[in-house]
Amino acid sequence: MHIPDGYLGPITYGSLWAAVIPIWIYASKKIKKILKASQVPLLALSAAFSFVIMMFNVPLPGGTTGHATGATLIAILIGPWPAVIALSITLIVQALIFGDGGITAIGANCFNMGFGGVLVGYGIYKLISGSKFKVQSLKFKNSDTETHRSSLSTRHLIGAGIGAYAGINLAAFLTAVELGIQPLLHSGTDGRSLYSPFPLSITIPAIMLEHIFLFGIVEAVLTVSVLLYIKKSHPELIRG
Amino acid sequence: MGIPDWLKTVTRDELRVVNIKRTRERFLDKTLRHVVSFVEDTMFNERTSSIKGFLQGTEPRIKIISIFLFIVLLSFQKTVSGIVVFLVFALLLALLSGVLVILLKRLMPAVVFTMLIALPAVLNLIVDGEPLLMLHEFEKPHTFYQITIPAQISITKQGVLSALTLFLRAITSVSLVFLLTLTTSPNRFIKAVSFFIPGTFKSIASISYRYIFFLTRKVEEFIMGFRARNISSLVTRHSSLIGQRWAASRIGLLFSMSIRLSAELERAMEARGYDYNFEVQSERLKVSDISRSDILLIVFSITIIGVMLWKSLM
Repeated sequence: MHIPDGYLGPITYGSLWAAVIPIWIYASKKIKKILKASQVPLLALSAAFSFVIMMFNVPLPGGTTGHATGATLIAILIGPWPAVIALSITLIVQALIFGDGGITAIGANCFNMGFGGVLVGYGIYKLISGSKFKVQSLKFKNSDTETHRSSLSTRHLIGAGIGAYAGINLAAFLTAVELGIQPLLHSGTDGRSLYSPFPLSITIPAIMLEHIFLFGIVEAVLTVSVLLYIKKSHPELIRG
Repeated sequence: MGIPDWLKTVTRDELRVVNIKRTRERFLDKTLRHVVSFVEDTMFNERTSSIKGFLQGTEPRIKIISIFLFIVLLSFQKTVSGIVVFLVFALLLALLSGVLVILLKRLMPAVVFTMLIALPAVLNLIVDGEPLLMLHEFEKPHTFYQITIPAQISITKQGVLSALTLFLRAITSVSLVFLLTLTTSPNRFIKAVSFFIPGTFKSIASISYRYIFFLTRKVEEFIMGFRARNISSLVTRHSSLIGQRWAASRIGLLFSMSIRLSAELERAMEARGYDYNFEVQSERLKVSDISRSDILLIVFSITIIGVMLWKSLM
């Protein structure tokens, strides 16, 4: 889903850079309220964690495998705005150091996966789980001194699964739209395409089908399974 | 002595075991491949960045600004010839830096991937235009969903140009990014990038980068441990479920590790006197830091920008 350089024209990538910078500013202001500066390592480790999640391949029945972005999972675990920053840092490191995703497309990739995917996934999770949409303090219970009772119910898990599925699909849809509008925005005088030449009628089915039937399922399965594991083995890590 | 009949017969159960085992191996292999390529790339970049070459000798911040500027300028190019100028320039820089062969090798997956994506655009199904070569002729046009298949399927001039533009633009951009990473050691690169990032983000990015390696190493150990424990395990029908559970438990464990590590790091930083508003300090760029290679790169960059601006004004 990472858009490389050369596929988006300056109007599109420029607009998405312009859209994502205020989001980063807003997210860092939100984080400053909930995150003490001494908890900078927590956010840094969360960014490293989200980088590593993308390395995991998960098997599905039938022999196929796929990997998840972990956007909704991270939002549930550390909160939506810290997740926006953690995922953005991950995407920037991937683009700059490993050439995974373009440099001009950093704005687009962060907008699609780091913002759209996170907020929609987390919003749906909150809506289904019935809890109020509020940013909690980024603090975890001390496992040595407290007796824990996990607050994760079946409703939370269903919300997490549907949120993760919807989040990754929204990110994929945004990617498909951004690529599909290129022939409309940038064509040469002779009729040739200057950037991605595929129209919306091709990009939407091509990208969405694999996300609806493969990557969305992987994302949902992984999000629910990780939460189940944490509920069982490390309940102190569930916030609130 | 011939092979006994019972050994030649393949039962359905045996077939299932083989297939499931392969599935299980595939997801582990893919994860391991990600981990290994990540570590290999980083180590390789460390080695190529210490070769004595043109870009290796330049100040990382000047190099980053120049290469980013080239990538942005490249995105404004509308002609194939304009893009080729940048590609030739990138290859020339690679040659001067002693990494041309390495760059070409590393480019191969991107070349194949971009070619596969760009290739369908040559057809009039995607980009309509002057036909160059007729491939097939139907009796009448067909419409599926919103896609209309014309009566004549052909390769068009506009399609070939669109595919070529996309291919060259994408490959040139990737070449420039690889050139940057191949000639700058990851640590210097992160330090140089930090120069352009504001406040707390700087600290988050630099700590995060270091711990990516730690967590990646853990993933490698998880895979090795899983393999070592499952050499002769009974492979069941639910092997994909086992795989999912394994991946979920390892990710959960990694999260718990990350939280514990961040708490330890927080305490260590406090013990060393970091206050709540600490920032990773970037060194200022001094005139004495600028070498002859830097001046040459700046002149190169200004020339390219000048030529491109002049070309667009003409």
